Amino acid sequence: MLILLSIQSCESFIEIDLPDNQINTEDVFKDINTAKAALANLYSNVRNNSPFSGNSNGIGLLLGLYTDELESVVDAGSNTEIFFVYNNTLLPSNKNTVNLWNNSYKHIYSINAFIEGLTTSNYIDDNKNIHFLAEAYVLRALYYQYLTQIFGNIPYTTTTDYRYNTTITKTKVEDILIYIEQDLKTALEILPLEYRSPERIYPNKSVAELLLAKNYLLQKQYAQAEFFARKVLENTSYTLETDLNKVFKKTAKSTIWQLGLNASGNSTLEAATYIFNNYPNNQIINNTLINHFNPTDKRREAWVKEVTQNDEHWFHPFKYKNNENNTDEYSIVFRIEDAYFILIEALANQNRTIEATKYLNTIRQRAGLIELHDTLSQSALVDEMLNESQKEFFCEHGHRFFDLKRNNRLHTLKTIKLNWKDKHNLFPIPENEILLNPKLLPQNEGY
Amino acid sequence: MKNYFHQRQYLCITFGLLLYMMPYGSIYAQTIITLTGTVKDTEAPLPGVTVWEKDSSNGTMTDENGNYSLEIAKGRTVTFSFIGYKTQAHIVRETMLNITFQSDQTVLEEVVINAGYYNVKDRERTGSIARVTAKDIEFQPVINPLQAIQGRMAGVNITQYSGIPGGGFDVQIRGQNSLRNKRNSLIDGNRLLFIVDGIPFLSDRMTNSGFSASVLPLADSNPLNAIDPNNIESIEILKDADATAIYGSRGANGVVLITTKRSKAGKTKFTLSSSTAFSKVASKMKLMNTEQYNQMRDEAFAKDGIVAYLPYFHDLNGNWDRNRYTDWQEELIGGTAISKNIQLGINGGNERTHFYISTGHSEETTVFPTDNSYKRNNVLLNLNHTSSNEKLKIRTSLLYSDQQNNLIQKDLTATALTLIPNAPALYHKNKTLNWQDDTFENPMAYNEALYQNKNRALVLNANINYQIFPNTYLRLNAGLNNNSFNEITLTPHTVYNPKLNYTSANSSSENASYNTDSYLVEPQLNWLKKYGPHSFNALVGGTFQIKNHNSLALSGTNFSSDALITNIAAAKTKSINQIGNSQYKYAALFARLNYIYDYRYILNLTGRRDGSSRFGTANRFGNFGAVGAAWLITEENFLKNNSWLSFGKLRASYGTSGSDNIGDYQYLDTYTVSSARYDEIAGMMPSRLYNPNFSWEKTTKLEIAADLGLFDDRIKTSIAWYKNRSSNQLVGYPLPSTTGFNSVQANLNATVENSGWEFTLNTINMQNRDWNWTTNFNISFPSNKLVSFPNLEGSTYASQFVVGKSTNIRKVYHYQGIDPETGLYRFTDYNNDGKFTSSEDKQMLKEVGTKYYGGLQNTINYKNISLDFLFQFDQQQNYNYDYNLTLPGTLGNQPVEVLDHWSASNQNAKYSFYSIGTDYVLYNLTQMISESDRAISDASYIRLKNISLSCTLKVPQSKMESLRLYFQGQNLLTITNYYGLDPEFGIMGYLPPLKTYAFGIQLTF
Repeated sequence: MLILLSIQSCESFIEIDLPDNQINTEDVFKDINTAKAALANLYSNVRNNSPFSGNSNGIGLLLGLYTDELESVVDAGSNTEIFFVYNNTLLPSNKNTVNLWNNSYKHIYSINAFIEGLTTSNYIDDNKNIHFLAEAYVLRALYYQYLTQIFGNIPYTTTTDYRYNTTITKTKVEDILIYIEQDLKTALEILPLEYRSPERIYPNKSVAELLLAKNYLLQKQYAQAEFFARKVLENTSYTLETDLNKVFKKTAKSTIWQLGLNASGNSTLEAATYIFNNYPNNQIINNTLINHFNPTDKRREAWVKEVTQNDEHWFHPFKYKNNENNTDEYSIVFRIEDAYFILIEALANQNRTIEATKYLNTIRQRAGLIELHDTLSQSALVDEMLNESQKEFFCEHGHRFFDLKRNNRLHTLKTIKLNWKDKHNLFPIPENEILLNPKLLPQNEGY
Repeated sequence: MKNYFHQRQYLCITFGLLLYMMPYGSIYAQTIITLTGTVKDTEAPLPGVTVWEKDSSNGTMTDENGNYSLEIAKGRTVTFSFIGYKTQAHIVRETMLNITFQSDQTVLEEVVINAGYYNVKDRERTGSIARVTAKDIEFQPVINPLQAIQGRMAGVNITQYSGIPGGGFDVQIRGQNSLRNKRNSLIDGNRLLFIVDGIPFLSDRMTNSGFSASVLPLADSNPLNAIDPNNIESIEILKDADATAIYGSRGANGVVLITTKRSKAGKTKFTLSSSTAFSKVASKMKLMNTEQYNQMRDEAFAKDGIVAYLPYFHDLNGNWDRNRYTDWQEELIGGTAISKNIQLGINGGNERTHFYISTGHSEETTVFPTDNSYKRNNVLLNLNHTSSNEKLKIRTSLLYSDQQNNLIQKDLTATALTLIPNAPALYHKNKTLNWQDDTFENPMAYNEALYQNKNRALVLNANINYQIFPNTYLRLNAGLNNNSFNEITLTPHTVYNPKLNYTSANSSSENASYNTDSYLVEPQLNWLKKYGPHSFNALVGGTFQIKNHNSLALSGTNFSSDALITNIAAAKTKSINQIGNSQYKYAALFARLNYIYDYRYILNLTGRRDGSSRFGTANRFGNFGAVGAAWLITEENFLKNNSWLSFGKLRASYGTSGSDNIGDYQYLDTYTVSSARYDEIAGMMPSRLYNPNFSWEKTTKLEIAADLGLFDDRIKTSIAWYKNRSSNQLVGYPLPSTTGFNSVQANLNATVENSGWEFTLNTINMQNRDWNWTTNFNISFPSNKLVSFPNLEGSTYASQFVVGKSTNIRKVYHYQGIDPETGLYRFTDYNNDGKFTSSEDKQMLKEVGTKYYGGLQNTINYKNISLDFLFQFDQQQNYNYDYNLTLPGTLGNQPVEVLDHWSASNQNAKYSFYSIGTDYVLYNLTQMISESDRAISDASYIRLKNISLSCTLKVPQSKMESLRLYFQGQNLLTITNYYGLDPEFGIMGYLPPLKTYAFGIQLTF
C-alpha cells in the first residue's frame, strides 16, 4: 500500500515545466505572434548562413571564388578548404560544400515544419496565415532552385518525417524544377503586390514572379520566362537607380527583396566579408574581372575599391560600403536588374535579338557604356549579355556561375581557371551524406 | 598469527552454539547477576561483539550501540571477541564491565567500506569496490583529486587532459559503455556518478559556451576541481552490479563516492600545513633548428620551382633575420609554474559532539610566460552529534569552495611546436609586443586576451539517524549542491596585428554564467537482526531529487575604450547569446537485503525503481537490481587450520544498472527561441526531431572474483573477472542533413560489451619495530567489443563501427610507405578506383585505447621517515604527432624526424619531399596521413607518477605535538617510445601533464 502510494507520488513528482526558451510545437501555431517568430527564423536563416548569406556560407563568395570573380589570398596551408574552392580542387568532404548542403536542408526542414504547423493549426485564421504560408513556399522554392543548380539531382522533400528523409532518394533536376514551379504558382495566387513591410524585407508577388521567370529559363520555357519577367518590370514600384551608389542602399527603388539586419547598426555580411582596410584578409577581386571593366564603366568606380599598401594594390567589392555604423544598407537578394537580364535571356533564346539588345542597352547606358548595335547574332548577344551580367552582378549570389551554366558557357572559364574541368558544372554531394544515406549514390560525375 | 587463529576458532564455535543460547542460558546457579556494559574501540562503540561466559553456552552480542547485558555468576570469566581485535577475558566482579578494544597491529585491521547507502566490512563485501584513503591522497601537489588517484585502483582509468590547472579529465570505470562520448556528443553518455558526502555532485559539463576551447581541451573543466584533495578522507569507487545497482539508473558507468574528513572526539588539535611546488612541462619534442628549417624551406622552393617569395613568407624574404634561433618550447611553455598551498585544520569536541574545520587556499601559476593563475579557497566543516541516550545521531558537513582561473585565451603548446624557429622576438626592449613591422603574428598577443572562469561550489549535507526500535533505524539523508560557474573572455583590439588598424571598436567580450542547484531528500529505514547464525540487514529508502539549471551568455563588441571591456553594458553592440533554464526531477525507491549465514555465506540483494523526467511519459520508470554472493572459504572446516591461507573469499554478482545521461527535454516536440532576429522579431526554431519513444540505457554486469589473504594476510590479492553488456544505447542517432538535423534521440539496438580482468596484490614485505615496507600492485586488462548492431551496414554508424571489434577502433586509410620512385606517400586503394574516398578506402581498423594499465606502489617506513613511490603504466595505442602533420616545407616548424625526407638519394625516407604547398597532390596525400594508420601508434608509457618522502618529528618540550616535513614529486620520470609530446592527452596540441617538485610542512599542535 505504502509502496503503491509512493509510486503514485513519484509519478507526479517527476513532472517538469518547460524551460523558458522552449514552446510546444502545437502552441507555436496557436498564436499568430509565435507563428510569426517561427517565420522570422526562416528569414534570419536566409540572412545568416544560407546560400544567400553575404559571408563565407553564401554562394556570393563561394561561387565568386569558384569562377573568375574572386581570388583567394589565404595561405594554402592555413585555410585550405576555401582555397580548394578557389583552386577548383573540391573534394566531396570539402567543408564549404558540406556547409552549403547541410545549412540548406536544415533551413528547408524549418520551412516544411512551418508549413506543416500552420496548415494543421486550427487556431489561426486562414485569412491571416495564408500570406505567411505563401512566403514559406517562396522560400522553399528559392532554396531548391539554387541547390539543384549547384548539386544537380538532389533529394526533394516537403515533409518533416525523419524516417522518410533519412532514406530519401534523389529527384531529377527537371522534376525539381516542376515542383518549384508549383510552389511558386501557389504563392503567386496568394501574395499581393504590396509589401508586408515598406522596407521590402519580405517577398511580395514580384519576388515569386521573378523566381518563376528564372525557373522557366531553367526549364527552357522562354515565352513563360519572358511573360513573368515582364510582369515584374511592369510593376511601377521598381525603377533602375540612375545613381549607382544608391543601388545597394536600403531605400533603392530597384530593390525587389532585401534581408533585414540582425540588429540595427550591424553592417551587412557582405560589407563585413569583403571590405578590408590595409591588407586583404581572405579574398580580393580577380584581376580578370578588373580588366573586363571598360574604362568608362561607372560600376568599376562605384562598386569596386582599390586598396594600396607599400606599392602593392588589391581590389575588393564595394557594393556594400558600410563596414561600420551601418544605417542605410540591407543585403539585397533580388533587384530589378535581375528581371532585365531574365528578359534579355528569354528574348535572346527566342531569337528576338533586337528587343533583347534594347534591354541590354538600358543597363549599359546606366553604366556609362556605349549602346550595342541591334545587329548582333544570337550567340554574340548571349556573350554580350554574360559580359554585362558579370560586371553587374559580381559577387551577388553566384550570378556568374549560374548565368554561364544556363547558357552553356562554363567551359570558357578554362582559360582563366587552369584546373577547371567539365565536371565542375556541379559541386560534389557531401561525402558524409552519402555515407549516411547510400541512396544518394551515385556521386556527381567526376568526384 | 597464533592469536588470530585462536580467535577465529573461538568465534566459529561460539556462533555454532548461538542457536542453543536461549534455552540453556544461566544454568550455573550461583550468585547470578546481570552484567552490563559497553564495548568500544578507540573511536566508537562496537556492535556485534560476542560476549561469552567461558566454557559455557551462555553468551550474547552487543547491540548497535555496543551495549550488552548478560546473566552470569560472579567469579566466572567472560570473554569479548570481535574480528580484527584480540579477544579479551575478564573475571566478573562488578555488575558493570566496559571494554575498550585496542587495535592490534598483529591482527588484521577490519576495514569498513563506504558503499553509499550502507557501510560494509571489507570482509563481508559482496561487491567490487576500490578504495583510496587520505593516506595516499593528502599532500599530493595536485589540484584535482582524480590526479591523486591515478594509477592506484584496478579498473579505473584516468587521463588528464591538460597540464593547465582547472582542466578536464577522462575517467573510465571498466571501459566505455555508451557510444556517446565527449568527442561525439555534447552530453557524455559515459559520465560517472559523483557523490560527495551523500549528495550527488555535479558531473555534467560545467558549460557549453565553448569559450575555453582553445585553452582547455574539449572546453572541459572537471567539477571535482572544486574539492581540495586534502579534505578527502576516502574515495570509494563502485564497479560491479552488486555495488552499483542500488544507484539504479545512474550507476551504469560506476559511482565515485567521496567522503570528506570526519571529526573525532578528543582534545582540540590544530593542524597547519603549507607547501610550495614547482612544475615544468614533463616532456618536450625535438624540433628543427633554424639551419635545418631554412634548409627545408629552400629545398621546398627549389622542388616546387618557385623563385619569388610571396609577400607573407617573412621567414625568407628578408623581413626576419634568417639566422635567428629561438627554442619556442622553452620560450612559450618552458616556464616554471609555482603553486602554493596553505591549510588550517581544527578538530575537537567531546564524545557526544565533535567537529572538524578545515580551511585552505591554493594557487598555481602556469608554465606560459604570463602572469595568470589559478586560485582556490575552500572550507570544510564537519559536525557530529550523538544524543545522550545514543538513539539519535546527526552528522552534517559543509563543503564550500571558490575557484578563480585566469588564463591566457589560447594554449601556446601547439604554437610552441610549430612556430618558425627564426621568428622574431616576442617583445621589444621596452616590453611591448613585437609585431616586426606587421609581419609577425605574435603568439603573445593572446596574452592581451583573457579567459577567466569563476566557480563556486557548495555541498551541504545532513544525515540524521534515529533508533526507533532496538533493531530498527530511521535515517534521513538530505542536502544540496549548488554550483555556479561564470566565465569571461576579453578580447581587446590589441590582440590583433596593428596592421589591421583596429581600435577599441573591434574589441569584444563575452560573459556566460551557469548556475545549478540540486536538492536531495532520501528517507531510509534500516533493520538489523540476528537469529542465531542468521544475520539480516535490510534497508529500504527513497530518493527525491530536483535539479534546476540556469544559463545566461552575453556578448558585446565595439567599445569606446578598452578600459570598459569588462562591462558589456558599455559595448555599442550587445547580444544575448543564450538564456536558458532547465529542470530535472528524479524519484526512486530502493532496497537492500543482506543475509549472512554463519559468517560464511553472504547474500546481498539490491534493487531500485527509478523515475526520471528525461523520458516521455510512457517510458519514465525503469527497474534495476542485482544479486551478489560471497563465500568465505577460510571459515570452512577444511581450510580452517591450514597454515598459509589466512583469508579466502569467493564472490560473484550479477545485475543491471542504467543511464539517463541524455540531457533534459529531449523527448519533447518544441520550438526554441533563437538569438537571431529578423525585423525586430526574435526567431523561433524547431528544437529537435521529435521522438518521444526512447527509454533507459541498461548495462548488465557480471563479476566473479576471489579475494585471498596469505601467510597471515601479509600477502593479499584479489582477482576479478567481469563482463558488462550495455544495450538499448541512448544515442543521438546520426542522420543525413536531409532530415533537417544531424541526429535524432533514440535507443539504438546495439550492444557494447566491456569485459576484463583485474588483479591487485598487496604485500607486507618487511615489518618490524623500525621498518615497514609494503607494496601495492594493480593491473587491469580491459577489453571492449561491439557485440551486436543489427543492420550496421545500412545504418548511419557504418563508418565508425564494426561488429565484433572494439568501439575504440578507427577506420582509417592504410599507409603503405613512400613510393621510392616518386617520393609520394602511398595508401591502399581498397576499391581500386584510382582515387581515395573515405567511405570506400578507409578500411584499415586501428584501435585507439589501452590494452592494460595499472600501478605499482611501494611504501617504506623507517622509524619516522616514510618513502612512497608510485609507478603508473599504460600499454596503449593513440594518435602520434603525424596526426598533426602539416606539409613539410610550408610555413611552420617540424620535428627533427621530418629531416628524414625523400630525395633521389634517400628513397626509403620516412617523409615525402618538401614542398611549399603548390603541389596539391602531395598536399592531399599529406593530409591523408592524419587519417591513416600511420598516425596511430604505440603510446605506452611508464611514469613515476608520485614520489613522496616525509619525516615526522616529535618536538618534546614544546606545545607542538608533531612536525612533519615532506617532499612530493609528480610525474618526475616518464619512459615511453611515443612519437609526440606526451602519451597522456585528451586531444593533441594542448599542454601535457606537468612535472612537479613540492616541498611542504605540517604542524600539529
